[in-house]
Amino acid sequence: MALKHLTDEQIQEYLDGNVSGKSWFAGHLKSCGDCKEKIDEYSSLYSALEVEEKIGLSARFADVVISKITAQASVTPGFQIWQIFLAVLGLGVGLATVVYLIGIKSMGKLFTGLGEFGKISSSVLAIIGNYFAGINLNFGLLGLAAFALVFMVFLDHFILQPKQRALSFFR
Amino acid sequence: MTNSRELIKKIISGDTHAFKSLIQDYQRLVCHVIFKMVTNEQDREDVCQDVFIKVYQNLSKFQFDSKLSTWIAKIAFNTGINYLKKQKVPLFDDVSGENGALEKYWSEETSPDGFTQERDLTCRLQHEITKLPVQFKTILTLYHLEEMSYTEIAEITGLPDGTVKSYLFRARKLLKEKLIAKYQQEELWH
Repeated sequence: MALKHLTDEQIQEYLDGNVSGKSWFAGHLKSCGDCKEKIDEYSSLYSALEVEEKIGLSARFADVVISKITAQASVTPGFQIWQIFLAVLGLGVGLATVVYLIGIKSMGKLFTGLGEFGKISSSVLAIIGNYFAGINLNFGLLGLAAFALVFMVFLDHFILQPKQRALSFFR
Repeated sequence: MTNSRELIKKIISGDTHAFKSLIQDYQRLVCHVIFKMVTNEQDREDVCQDVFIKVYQNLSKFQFDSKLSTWIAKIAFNTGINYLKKQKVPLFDDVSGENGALEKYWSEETSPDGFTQERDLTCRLQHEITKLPVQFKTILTLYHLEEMSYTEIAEITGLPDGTVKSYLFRARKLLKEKLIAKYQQEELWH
């Protein structure tokens, strides 16, 4: 019976430690010079593959990465939920104040030339007007509060927050 | 894994030393991936920086469903691929598993033969590896230098486990054949 040589795949499996019948392999290698030679070739290749290549990064690599992250964070601050909430609240109250001050009918006239969209807008304004007419609120004071809130959010977002983040991003 | 959890928690809370520690721990891994993909020495460090910036930006999304090293290596691999696409470097496409596709790619590769005078096997091998497609280089590196499993490498490269194993075996066989053919066997393998 002719001697069956090991395939490249079998040799690699053997060297990777994925072969269960290692004793059979060892026995075969003792009697087969060709396969022994092939194993030695692959062993040399494996050893060379495991040699570490020189890895050269600058000594300040980590510092540069951190400074880049800090710079990015200070340039693009994001909105927080409470800011969005206050902005929406402020806009809503502001709109209600305007409606209250100039009157719902005058507001409706603004949309008369806009066809179907104007009709829908007038209806929406009428609903809002009726709703606010039913509750007793000081709209002038609310408008002032809304303006103050919007101003504070604006100030915080564009001036205070970027500075604060730049300082506190990494404590 | 517990240490990774603590480290990530500290980084998210803004601990700069923790993030520096992470960079130091995984710098070698990122370099192994990127250096095999990016040949331009000036760009290498920039790409490595991009990798760690992405790691920081996405750290809060890390769900611990894999090792942190696997997750970071995946970011590094994808960053490297994006870099190569921007540089319009042709990527090896072997989805069909066509026999001889790797050999064909190799023969089409015309990188300068700078190490032919090198007598050292490792240097010669490194030169031959540079001619391999990027997926093969990455698989060889992650398997032999980072000692990662087929499954981990599959997760990093986005290839099926079987393809990873097939690429690894084909790459090693081809490297052996090329080295033997190029340099005299008795001189090289001792």
